[in-house]
Amino acid sequence: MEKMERDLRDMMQRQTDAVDRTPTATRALVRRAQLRRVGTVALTGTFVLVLVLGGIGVGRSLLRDSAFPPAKPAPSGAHLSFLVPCIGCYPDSPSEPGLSTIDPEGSIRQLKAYEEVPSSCEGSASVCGIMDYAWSPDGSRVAILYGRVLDPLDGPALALYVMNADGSNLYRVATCPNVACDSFVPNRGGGGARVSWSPDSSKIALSDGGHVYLADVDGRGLERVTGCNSCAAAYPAWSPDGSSIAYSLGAPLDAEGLYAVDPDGSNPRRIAKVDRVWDPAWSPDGSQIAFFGGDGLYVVNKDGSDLRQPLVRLSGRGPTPSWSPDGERIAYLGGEGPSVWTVDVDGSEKTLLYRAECCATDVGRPVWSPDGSEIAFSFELHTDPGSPGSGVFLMKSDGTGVRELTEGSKPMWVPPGS
Amino acid sequence: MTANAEEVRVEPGLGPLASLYEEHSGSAFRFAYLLTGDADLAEDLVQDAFVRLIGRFGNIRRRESLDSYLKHTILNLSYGSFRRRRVERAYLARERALPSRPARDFPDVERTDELWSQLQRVAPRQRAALILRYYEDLSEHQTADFLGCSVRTVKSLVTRGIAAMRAQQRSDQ
Repeated sequence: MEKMERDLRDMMQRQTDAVDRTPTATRALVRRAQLRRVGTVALTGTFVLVLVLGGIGVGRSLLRDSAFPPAKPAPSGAHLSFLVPCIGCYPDSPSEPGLSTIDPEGSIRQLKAYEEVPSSCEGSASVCGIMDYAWSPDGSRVAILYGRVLDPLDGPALALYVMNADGSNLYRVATCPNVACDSFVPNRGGGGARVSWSPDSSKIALSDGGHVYLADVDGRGLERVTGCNSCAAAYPAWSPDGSSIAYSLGAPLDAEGLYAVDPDGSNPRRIAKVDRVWDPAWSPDGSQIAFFGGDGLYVVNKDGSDLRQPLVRLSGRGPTPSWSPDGERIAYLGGEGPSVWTVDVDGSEKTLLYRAECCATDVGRPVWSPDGSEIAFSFELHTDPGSPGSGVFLMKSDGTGVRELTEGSKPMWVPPGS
Repeated sequence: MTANAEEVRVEPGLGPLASLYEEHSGSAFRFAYLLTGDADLAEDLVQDAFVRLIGRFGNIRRRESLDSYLKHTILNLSYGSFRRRRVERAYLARERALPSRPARDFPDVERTDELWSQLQRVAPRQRAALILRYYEDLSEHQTADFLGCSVRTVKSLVTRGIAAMRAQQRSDQ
């Protein structure tokens, strides 16, 4: 150990020795808790805490709204949303942890901070945050899947929230144990937790990695649409016409593949027998599904026909492929150093758009802009010193003009009219 | 907060919460103090952490993880205070007026105070990594588990934290 580290260790020991004292207020609190019986205090304390935190949240929200300038309208009207995923990662970032939007001119507006989301994760001992989010097709609302994956004390937890596009009116639609967290599949690392809106913006499909559920956006109903208790159904994706929900099935092993089910839970069918399916994505016209699985990127017709050899062979996991708005090309993240590629639906014209020079891993999906002119993506950078963590990047769809917009991950285009 | 607080002597055998408090509060306070550099704020954080513990007391399955649970909660709570104090701290740093702790009765006081001041100016997550590694004596893997990040990120946080302290040292000279 170098001198600096030794000195640091000694200094911390001396400082704590010098100030060591017992938090008396905590003693009082513990004493009161004993007198009232733990169970009663647990309920009351939690209720009060929620009220207090809620009040603080409202206050902070008001302060934040006044501190952040409103997003400037871009000429195209295209804004991106993104996550700043971890608390304390970016002390100098203009973005607080949470969900924010940024316009092409770089103006950032936070829609919702993590701390404003009341959750069963409150006080959790493990990482707890926004696992996935999605804009409603009509642009009026955002669905947020909030939770933790692995908790040494309490296990996984999930809660689905919906809020208005401006961040107001956040409410909880579903939570554990309504969502059967006991079906959670830890070895997916939470990767299967996903939300997908119905085309009419009235329902949300979600998965905890074990089952697919449908939730009414008004919070009145939650129903399971996949039936197998021991299965690992994940990554729900609603078809553009609303007639089917595609999802991956990771267990049991002999039933692995890409599946679809009608929204009422009927007609479950296997569309493609491919192992280790991730992140299905419907083509804009709803006739085909692209997905990663097995050894590469596949495209298959919605009825299961014409499953071609992989368009691209890739080992490991590839995040959600993204269709161009005209349905002719697919963007995806490649290996050999994080890179963004596009390929024609027939497998031709494989094109490298951008490759990180070094020290990066992919942490999000590439997403085409609504007009097809740009692609956003996110990489985690490891260019010490001074690495900001993960960054949201934007480039033209031909790969030129790459620029980093901000720290963050999981970029999505905000629907027009939001 | 503490001046008017009710003094209560926690007696052994009063219940599981008392014994947990007796066992963990001191360690939790020291951790919070290193994170925040402020003994009063550290007490507040420990209290908040215990409030949350009470709210979840009945659901805790692994009591041996309580120390880790409390420190996780303190760390997460501290980030909020870091954000609130960021503007103030930046101003103080600009003005070269960041107050150091009063001198204490141990050797090399000046050096210790320098290090203390430098540690408090390191980015919060880097500071947490330094404390976990060099005060809590966690391994890189344990620190990564605690912070919910990779071992590589822990190495990066520690390296950058040390580098930041050295840079401050140079500029202070």
